[in-house]
Amino acid sequence: MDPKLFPGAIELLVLEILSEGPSYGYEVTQTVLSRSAGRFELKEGSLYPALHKLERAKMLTAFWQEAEGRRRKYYKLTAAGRKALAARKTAWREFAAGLEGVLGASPRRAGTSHA
Amino acid sequence: MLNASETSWPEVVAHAAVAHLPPVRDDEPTTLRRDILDELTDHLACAFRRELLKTKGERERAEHNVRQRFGDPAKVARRLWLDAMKGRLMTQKVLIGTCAALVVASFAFYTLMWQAIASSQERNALLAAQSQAANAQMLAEAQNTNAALLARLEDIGKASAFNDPQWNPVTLRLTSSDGSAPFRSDVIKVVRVAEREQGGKSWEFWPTAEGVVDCGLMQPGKYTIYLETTWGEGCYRSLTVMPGRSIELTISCPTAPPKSIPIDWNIDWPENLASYENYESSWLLVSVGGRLVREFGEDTWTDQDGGRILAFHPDGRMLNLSTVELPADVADLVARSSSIRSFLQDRRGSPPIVEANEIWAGGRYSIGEMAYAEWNKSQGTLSLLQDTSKPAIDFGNDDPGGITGGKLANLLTVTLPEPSFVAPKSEQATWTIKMPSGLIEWAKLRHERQSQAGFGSIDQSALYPLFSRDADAATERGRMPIEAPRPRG
Repeated sequence: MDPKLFPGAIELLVLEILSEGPSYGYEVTQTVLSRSAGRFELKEGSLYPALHKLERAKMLTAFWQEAEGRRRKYYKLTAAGRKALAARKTAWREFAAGLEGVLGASPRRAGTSHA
Repeated sequence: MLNASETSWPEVVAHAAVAHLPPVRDDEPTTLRRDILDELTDHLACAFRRELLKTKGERERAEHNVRQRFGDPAKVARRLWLDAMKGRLMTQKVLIGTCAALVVASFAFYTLMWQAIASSQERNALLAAQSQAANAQMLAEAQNTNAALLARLEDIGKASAFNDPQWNPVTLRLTSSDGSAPFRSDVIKVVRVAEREQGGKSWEFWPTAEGVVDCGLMQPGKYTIYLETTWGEGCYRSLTVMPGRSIELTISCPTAPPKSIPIDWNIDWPENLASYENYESSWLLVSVGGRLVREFGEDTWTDQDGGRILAFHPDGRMLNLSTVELPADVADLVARSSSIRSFLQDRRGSPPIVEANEIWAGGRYSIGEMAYAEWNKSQGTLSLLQDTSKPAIDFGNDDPGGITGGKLANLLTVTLPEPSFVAPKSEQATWTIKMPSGLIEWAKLRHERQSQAGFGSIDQSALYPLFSRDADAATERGRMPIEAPRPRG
């Protein structure tokens, strides 16, 4: 499943992953894939632009470290990012609850109407 | 552990992706391309290593899987570069747009300025020309105004020299009526300025050789200017003197007398008078008056010929009694003695030879009176047929020119109404005078009765026209009856 189906979902996922500690792009994709039980497979063409956008928005900071003989760029959640994450999580939950409410009520209505 | 060949593929792919980025820009961060390259290389290397593990070392399959999941690294690299450069690119675009706008605005501004300058130059040239013309006009007007002011000041100065606005300088400038001939002061007999009111004063002046008549200072009022030439031609002009204003009048004057032409007078004597005994003593007296008007510009000059008395004899002789005036009213008769004397003296001796008269060419002439007279040779008197209803004029001891008897009897005259006739301008004229029928009838009575015992009046309307050209009409009108003579009281 492509998380781009839901607007703002990729940024929400990135912020959430990085709220647990600094990480880099490939690790973020693997973490999302793992935690979503293979449902969310972030494409690199979407991940890195999202990371860079959050960095320019001061929600993330980046730093480089040497790893396995290469330069690796780590991203770290800032206070602004943390605040934005909280707000987005709240909004997402309300959205999901509403959506679930609607989706959950739909079969009964249909059954009632056909009875 | 991965060997060198395993790790080279991601680097090659990342380098290839970064190689497709736009050319390096001056405002580009120095580490941007390197950071993109390293981040993509690290990601590809991690993914490639994981796929190698999954595929148990199948390199091509691992590369294939990585490529399939990653997509086009060049697109990702370009997207990252564009996101990083977005602000600068936008700034550059805005800057370029602004510069372009400024260039366009500058071009438009300079175009407008150029047009404005060109237009301004044209307007300036036009304004300069207009200003020059206006200045020239103002200068001319100022000069005219100054000249008028100077003339006015000069006039005022002249007037104020006597410190009395009630005395105003009057100057007449006499000019030649003929543009090709100069003014001739010698032909001006007199210039007379007279107050118009009855009994007013008059003054006489004479022009300078240049035609200037300085009348001096005159009081306000109305005057009449009269000029007369040596040959009797005169001109009247009105003059009004205003307080405090000088006057200068220009008058055109003739430079030569009017041209005259000879005139032959011819009397159409009635044949039936010739049979009378004293017919040879008969004379027909005719007063002829003439008037000539010549216009010179605004000035009218008039020949003041008051008339001439011509005495005609049946044998064709003619005597000019031009100095004898026979006005219509006998009571006003004034005999000019010298002429009468001359006439009588001539008659006592040999008959005088009298040249034909002359008349002004173009003059308008008419016959004023006619009288029938008898010459008494023995008494030396000329008896003019009388109308006893009029009082006689007693000359007393003042011999009026040799007329004996002391009285010039009350003459019977007839005043002829118009027509007058205009003399030709260049040729000799012959005018034939036809005796009025009434006068003929009266003359016959005179000859038959040899009496002066009263005469009837003559219908004057029957006495014209007199000239040969109207002979037929005159013949018809000549049959007008007259009253019978009355016995003398």
